[in-house]
Amino acid sequence: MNVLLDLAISTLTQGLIYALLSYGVYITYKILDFPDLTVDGSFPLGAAVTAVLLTRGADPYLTLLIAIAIGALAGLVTGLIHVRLHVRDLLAGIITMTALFSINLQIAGSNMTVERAASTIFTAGPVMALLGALPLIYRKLIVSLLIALLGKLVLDVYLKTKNGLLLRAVGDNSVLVTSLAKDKGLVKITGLVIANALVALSGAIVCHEQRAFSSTMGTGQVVFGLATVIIGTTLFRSMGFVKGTTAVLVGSILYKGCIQIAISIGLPANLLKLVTAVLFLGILVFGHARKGGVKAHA
Amino acid sequence: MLELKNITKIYNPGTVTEMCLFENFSLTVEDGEFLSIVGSNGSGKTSLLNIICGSIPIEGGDVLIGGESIIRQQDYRRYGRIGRVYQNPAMGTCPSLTILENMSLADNKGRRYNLTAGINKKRRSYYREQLASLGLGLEDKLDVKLESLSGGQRQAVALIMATLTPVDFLILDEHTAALDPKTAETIMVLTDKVVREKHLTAMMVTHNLRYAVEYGSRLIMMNEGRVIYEKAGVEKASLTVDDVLHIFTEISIECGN
Repeated sequence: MNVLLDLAISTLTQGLIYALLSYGVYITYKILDFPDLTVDGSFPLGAAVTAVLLTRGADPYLTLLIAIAIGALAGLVTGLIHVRLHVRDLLAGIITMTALFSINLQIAGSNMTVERAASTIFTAGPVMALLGALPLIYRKLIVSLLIALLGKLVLDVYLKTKNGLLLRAVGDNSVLVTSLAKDKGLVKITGLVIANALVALSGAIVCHEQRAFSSTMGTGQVVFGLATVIIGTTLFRSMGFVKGTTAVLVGSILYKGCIQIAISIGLPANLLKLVTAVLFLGILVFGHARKGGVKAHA
Repeated sequence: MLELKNITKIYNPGTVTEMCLFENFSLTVEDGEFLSIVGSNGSGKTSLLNIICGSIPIEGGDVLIGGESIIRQQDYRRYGRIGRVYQNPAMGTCPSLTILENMSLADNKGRRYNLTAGINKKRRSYYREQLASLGLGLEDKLDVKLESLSGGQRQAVALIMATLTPVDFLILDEHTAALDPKTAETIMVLTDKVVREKHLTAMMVTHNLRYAVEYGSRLIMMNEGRVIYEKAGVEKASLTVDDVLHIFTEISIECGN
């Protein structure tokens, strides 16, 4: 029974950590209407930077801020390629993602593990002082929950600021943004910067949690993000009062739960991506049927 | 004063489909003028507006506002002093934002879109007042998303939004064309009211000859990139729809339509 409980807790923790990635995809896909593939590169980027910093004995909390900054930079690159060099949105993301694969390997050398001696955000001073009595698995859950909720809160507040309103406007009707005498390209770049900062933060926390960086950990993260956004927003569509960020948070936890169940009942790990793809297609078709309408690229 | 000087506009330059729309085209719009522009499809009406707003590039000539050239300014910078209402009611508003959010966005034009609260509660009554002037009952729907409003309601909100902050020019790009006759009439009356009350210089492209005759202080008719008919002041005031229709038909016959 304890094994099952532990599994449930760690799955929940995963869902919360990956929710940050989902917030990022929510911003690009849902708000900006920009299918951003940078995610597959900026997620491991956050992890690579964190693995190197933790190994060198950096302050664990500082690594989060650095991951945010470097993820923002990745978003900026995609934004500039798209807006200033006029490359199509999908291609701009693919270019950055491809470049990041090499860059991540340059940063981390190769696949990396962070040794036990290095402290992480789950084992460092302040957390131990407050939650030291709890087993590691609960500490991970609580810290992840706090970060996921904080991320959601900050994002919710941001989306209600003037800048946030403009961001929502640009995906909705970019002509209006131009009419408001604002450069719509700059607004799009802002969105990509924020989104990839969140994605890299998610990657950084995954690195803290697993004490590892692998060069392939980014593969399929865009699909994961898209799936969670679509699960969340489809589930809560009829409930207008539920915020998009809340829906996405729930979507992330549900998705991680589904995958964990599939693995627990004996799905070979090699088939995971195939199942993910099929599941994603199912969600799209299901969401589409419920919507009862056509959206060009939903 | 808005001046277009010696504008040359060529579509698809250097290809077999090359088409010269404007050659040395010039037009002046005085401050406070309400200019109606009519003409058949392809006569260059909408291109004219797009050239003023910087939406399309030109091959030669200059656009000046108050004597200052704006031809090097990017489109979004030009909109600092231009308000525009489009033919498609969906272009002037954000469908997934509420009326209040849309109004707040428009109210902030010309200022920074920073990290302060997007909605200023103190302005709520001002927005209500502005919307109430439309007489459509929208002042009680501040928290309704634009996507659930009708085309006419959206266009009314778009008109208010385009003129909420002080602009020098109001550009009306066939803004009643997608509306039913009754709603079009309402929007046209509102437009006239807004232009008068806010002392705007307006340019209106329309296919509705009656609107062109009834509203505005000057009327021009365009054909193949040239102004072929023009009436202003007293002459314009005594103009009838039949007069304009007569000329319109004449040029259409000449063109073989």
